[in-house]
Amino acid sequence: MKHILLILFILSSEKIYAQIFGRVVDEASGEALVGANLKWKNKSTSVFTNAYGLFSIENIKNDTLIVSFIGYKEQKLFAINESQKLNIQLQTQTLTLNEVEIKNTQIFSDVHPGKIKLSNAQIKGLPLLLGEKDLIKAFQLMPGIQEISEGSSSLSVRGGGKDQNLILLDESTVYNPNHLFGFFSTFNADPIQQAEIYKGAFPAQYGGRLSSVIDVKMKEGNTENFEVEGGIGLISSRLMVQGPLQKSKSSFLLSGRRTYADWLMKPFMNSREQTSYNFGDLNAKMNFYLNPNNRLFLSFYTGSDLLLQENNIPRGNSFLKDMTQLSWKNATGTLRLNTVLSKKLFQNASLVYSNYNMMYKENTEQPYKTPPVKLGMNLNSHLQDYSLKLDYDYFAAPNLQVKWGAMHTFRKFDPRDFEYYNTSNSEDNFKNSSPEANTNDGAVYVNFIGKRNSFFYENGLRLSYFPSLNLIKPEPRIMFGYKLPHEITVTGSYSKMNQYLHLVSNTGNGLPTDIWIPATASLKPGSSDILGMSASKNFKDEWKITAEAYYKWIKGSNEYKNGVNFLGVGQSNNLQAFNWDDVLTQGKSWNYGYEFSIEKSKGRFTAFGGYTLAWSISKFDEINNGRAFYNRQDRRHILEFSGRYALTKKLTFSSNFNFSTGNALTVPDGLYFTNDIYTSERDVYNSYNGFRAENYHRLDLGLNLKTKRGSWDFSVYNVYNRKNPYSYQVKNQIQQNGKVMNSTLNRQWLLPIIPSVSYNFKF
Amino acid sequence: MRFLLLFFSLCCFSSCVSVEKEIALPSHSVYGFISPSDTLISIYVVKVYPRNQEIYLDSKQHLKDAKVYLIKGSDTLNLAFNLTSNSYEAANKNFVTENTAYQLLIQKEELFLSAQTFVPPSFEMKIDTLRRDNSTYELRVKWNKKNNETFYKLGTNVEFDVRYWGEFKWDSGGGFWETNDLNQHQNLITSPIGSFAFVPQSTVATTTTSLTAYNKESFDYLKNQELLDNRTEFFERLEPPILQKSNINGDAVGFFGAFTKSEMKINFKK
Repeated sequence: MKHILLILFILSSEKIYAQIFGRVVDEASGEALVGANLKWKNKSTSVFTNAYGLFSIENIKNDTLIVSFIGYKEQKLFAINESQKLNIQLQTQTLTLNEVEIKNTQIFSDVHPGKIKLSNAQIKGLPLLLGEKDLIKAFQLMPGIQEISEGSSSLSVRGGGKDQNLILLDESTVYNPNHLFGFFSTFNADPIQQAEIYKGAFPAQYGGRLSSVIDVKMKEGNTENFEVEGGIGLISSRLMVQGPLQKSKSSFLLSGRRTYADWLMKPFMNSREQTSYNFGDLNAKMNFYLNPNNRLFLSFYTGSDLLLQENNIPRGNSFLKDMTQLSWKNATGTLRLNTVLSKKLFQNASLVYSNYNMMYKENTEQPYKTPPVKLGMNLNSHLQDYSLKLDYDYFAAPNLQVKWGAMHTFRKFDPRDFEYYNTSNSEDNFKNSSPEANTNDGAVYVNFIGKRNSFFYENGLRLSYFPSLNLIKPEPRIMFGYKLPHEITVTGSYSKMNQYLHLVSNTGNGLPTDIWIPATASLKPGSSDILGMSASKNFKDEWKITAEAYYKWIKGSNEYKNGVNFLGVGQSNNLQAFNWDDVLTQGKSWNYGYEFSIEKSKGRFTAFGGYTLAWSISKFDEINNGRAFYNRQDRRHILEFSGRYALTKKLTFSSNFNFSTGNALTVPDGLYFTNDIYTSERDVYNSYNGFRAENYHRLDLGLNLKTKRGSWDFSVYNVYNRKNPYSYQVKNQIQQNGKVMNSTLNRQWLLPIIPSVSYNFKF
Repeated sequence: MRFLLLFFSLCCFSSCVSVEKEIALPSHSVYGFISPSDTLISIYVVKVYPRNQEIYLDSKQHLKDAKVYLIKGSDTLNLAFNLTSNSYEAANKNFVTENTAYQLLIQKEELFLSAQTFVPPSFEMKIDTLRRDNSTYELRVKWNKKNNETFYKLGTNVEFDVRYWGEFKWDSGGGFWETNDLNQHQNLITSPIGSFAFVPQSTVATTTTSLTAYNKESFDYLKNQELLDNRTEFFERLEPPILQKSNINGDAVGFFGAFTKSEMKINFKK
């Protein structure tokens, strides 16, 4: 720790260079432009704006500073005074009348292996399920990232489990990013400014999960003009309003989305049996320029799902009322103060809150009894966290940027809170809860980003701590790269990650019954070591090919112990508390593979895609008799392609194609009879995940038609109606007068061809 | 091109582990439970059938002419194949007794199978009854706990005089699979309290309450099997796969278990 402080002190002693610093923003909205490039015309020195649009660069007299950002007109600044603070406004590039000029932000990073970045426009340009523009679904089209099962919003990144992804929305953790039992994610695309995913070479400021970091940034809100945009789709509608609170000084953004599945279902229900389902999201953000050096942001998100079933069964002149309710809710909040401490040093202080709540209720009312009877149960699971973060960004020298900071998180786990009540017999009433747990964890980090001629690097160290188990763990983050002639870049990286909480989850889908629990002495924290190498080549600033190889070792990955029934369906023991340590068992995991990607970011035709050759293997003492087995998310070959073609200025055609080897599943390999009755068959499971599902492939097509005030999106999901495997069921059929039994494994599939249309507006 | 070659030469990763390509399916299955209360000991030894194959039920391939022994300490009981029931059988003349370990041996040519089990101690069961209202009776089952290695399953049904099977409902806890974690009162474990109500046409009802004790291995096996049998397709997706454990050694799968059982019938009038 002393050494780190010493280094920071040395780096803070600024002198030498006359410096210019400031912010790069969109001229029309005042929105910060993240990753804009600032470069001197006659010198190799260049910098990129940081996560808040801030930059600091050495001033070179009599030279020209060129500021550029994809989709914006380049701006040239001459003869800048020494130590000047600049607020650089870039204008959006307008299209010429006779030709369609399109240039997208590059999705795959040259200098940061394993990093993928998507802008709002790129997310919205993809044809996705039911026309819903969904961030997580967009990421699932990228090499090395896949859905765990058909239609699911859960991600497996380079063979990792869905619990190994840190999902951040404006710095707050989103614990369950799923709506509609995983078919949609919580990320409504409208308020998203950009999203990045790191599959490897993790910068030191990120930590806490083993396989990936997804960093989603919400728009800041337009400080110059009012804007309304939204869309009407088949299952949901969206509306976003943004504008200045005080022109050029403060802004607000409010964005909502809601399904109308419950309203659509209502006419098909009778008055005695009602089932309804809905989900919704609300994003809000405010930003204030307090003074030239301080900027305050307040962002908020809440999203919930509600499944409600009510039955009224006649009993004489009255009714027996039966109600079942399942709901889950995410809420996050971030208060952030962005401060320019000096020409070279920027500070970001954040207070972050996140809350996840799952509730299951059953209630039966018998008002015709004397006295009236009420009986039922409530099951709650709850996780809250509060974080304090402090990040510093120091432009130490023309080609050296240093980031350092600290964060501390307090987590309150209440995994399972059960209550049974019966008003007719108070002796039966009881409460039964798994023990609550409060944990603290955090980290300090330092990260050096720099370059020297063709050589560049991003090296750092993160020290994470978990006081509950007296753990302090160093996490080195190393990345070196070299720019070779002919626009070829090669990199090598190593990252160490630790995870101090586990997910008790049942399937690949993101279900509300997934429960987070803290690491304990017996359920140890997980750790991963990730090695990566990459080579990429640009062709005329238009095409890019990238090849990456990775190897990821994971210790402390989790699986269920055999025969665990944590939901307790149909069982008495759902009422008994049990120890989480009895539910999960820990083992090791090996994930390795190669990813090849291609991207075309300029012209009428833009596209990205890739091929992945990967393995994901685990070994647990208590599973599969200690033998190694393929993980559920193990898919050997994955081929993905997504393209857009601008037919005219108003009409754009788009498509996605996805092929992957079937995943590994546990299904019965055979059967036997326990006696002489033909119905006494039992399944034989010979190996864990020993069955390979049929290959998955799907083609989606989309057409976007721009109108004066908005656009129409027509899309077809699964164009050729491929019945992709979701699960397999055993079906035993006795035929020929009871003489022959046919025992077959039948493929279950979920999503057929689904056409959709939606209208989007903006004014 | 040379850089791509360099890249691939650097990427010569290989895994530290390998996954077995194919694991042969066991050739046979063995299944049987023994109990002091059973008059007949039955063990089934049948062929294992691969999935996706037609199974001719008429010629179900029971293993015949094998030597099957049940061993208790130094005593050995021979089981013979019964052509009618297709199982290996022997009369239980106090051979299976409580609190005793047993070994099963099966041998035919190259095939040699074995399994062990333990018959749990017997126990005393009591049932207290209480009339809740005009038509509803309450039952409270108690039994003496023997040790921490014995686990209990409780089952109750109701039969009315008008040939109608009624529902017995445990007010709390469901009452079908109970462990020994329940509260103890003077060495008696109180089960969840249950009740039943008379059907309108009936005036007499008989409840049959059974309590079965198992060793942990048998308890887990049957509990998992009930979970598998009761699973609906929906819940199958919600919960992890259940891989039923086998305790048969050798080229076979299946289960050899044991139990002791108490059963009481009580008649009620409306």
